[in-house]
Amino acid sequence: MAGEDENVKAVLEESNSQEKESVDATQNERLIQLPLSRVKQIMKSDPDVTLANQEAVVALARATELFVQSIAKDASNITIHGKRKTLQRKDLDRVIDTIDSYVFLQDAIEWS
Amino acid sequence: MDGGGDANSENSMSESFFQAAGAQIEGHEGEEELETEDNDNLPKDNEPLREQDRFLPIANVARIMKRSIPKSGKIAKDAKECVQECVSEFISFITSEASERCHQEKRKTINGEDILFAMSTLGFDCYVEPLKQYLQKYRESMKGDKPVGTAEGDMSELDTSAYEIQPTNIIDPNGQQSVVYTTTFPNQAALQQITFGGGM
Repeated sequence: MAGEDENVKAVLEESNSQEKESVDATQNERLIQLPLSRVKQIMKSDPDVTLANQEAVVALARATELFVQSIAKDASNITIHGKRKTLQRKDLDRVIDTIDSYVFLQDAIEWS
Repeated sequence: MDGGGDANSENSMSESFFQAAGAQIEGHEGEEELETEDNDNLPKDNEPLREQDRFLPIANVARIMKRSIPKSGKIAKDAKECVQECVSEFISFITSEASERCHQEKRKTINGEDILFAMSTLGFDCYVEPLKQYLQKYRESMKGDKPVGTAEGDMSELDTSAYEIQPTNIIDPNGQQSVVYTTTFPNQAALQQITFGGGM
């Protein structure tokens, strides 16, 4: 009984600390972590693109952050599954190869 | 603040939406023309982007990645570089789709809604809700820093197909930048003034 309580406690503590981290993360997430001018520049490199308003750049910058988080998290699951601590290129290759929403990357990257 | 080509500006953490907008987009608010870049060292339209300009700074990318992996985890350098490339690809991918929608609707300016629509179309539907909330907060934080007319808050919902918005930058004695927007309707003689900023 005591052992079970301890387990539950450990799980709760972990999820509490995760929650706190995610609150902190939310605070961070209110700030744009990527340089907007660079995002804008990459948008501009498409010859068909003429103008974009600031909200578009901001939205895309934020979406890009979400994208980085998603792909890192997905790749990290592969890392953990392989019982490794370091997220490697091959973990990214694996998710790009298997997850539908990353299919657009398949032609863009040079496979390792 | 010189613009995207300066390594220092990339590494600085934006402390607030206001600063991010002010520091990174040369003080322009609202409509931002991608074509005219007078006072920074970004390459001209007909020059290919330099290697460092094609990607977002790796430090920023790595920082965001770290948030998504276990605290004790590490990231290999080539993995960071790969994500860096993927990110630029992502931006181009979404932009291209948004741009196409714009053209179809005979509009020249990509707005927030176009980006959200592109997300949804391209399999990133899960980002749409968080982005909507984020944009809401962003609009509110812009309002908080500068008192604005209601027009700014609703800008993304306005149909931009019928008119262009010309921003004019004004700096008042406090160094506060305000922007005067002049909306012109091609089929109408009347000019509609939408002004922002305190004391205007």
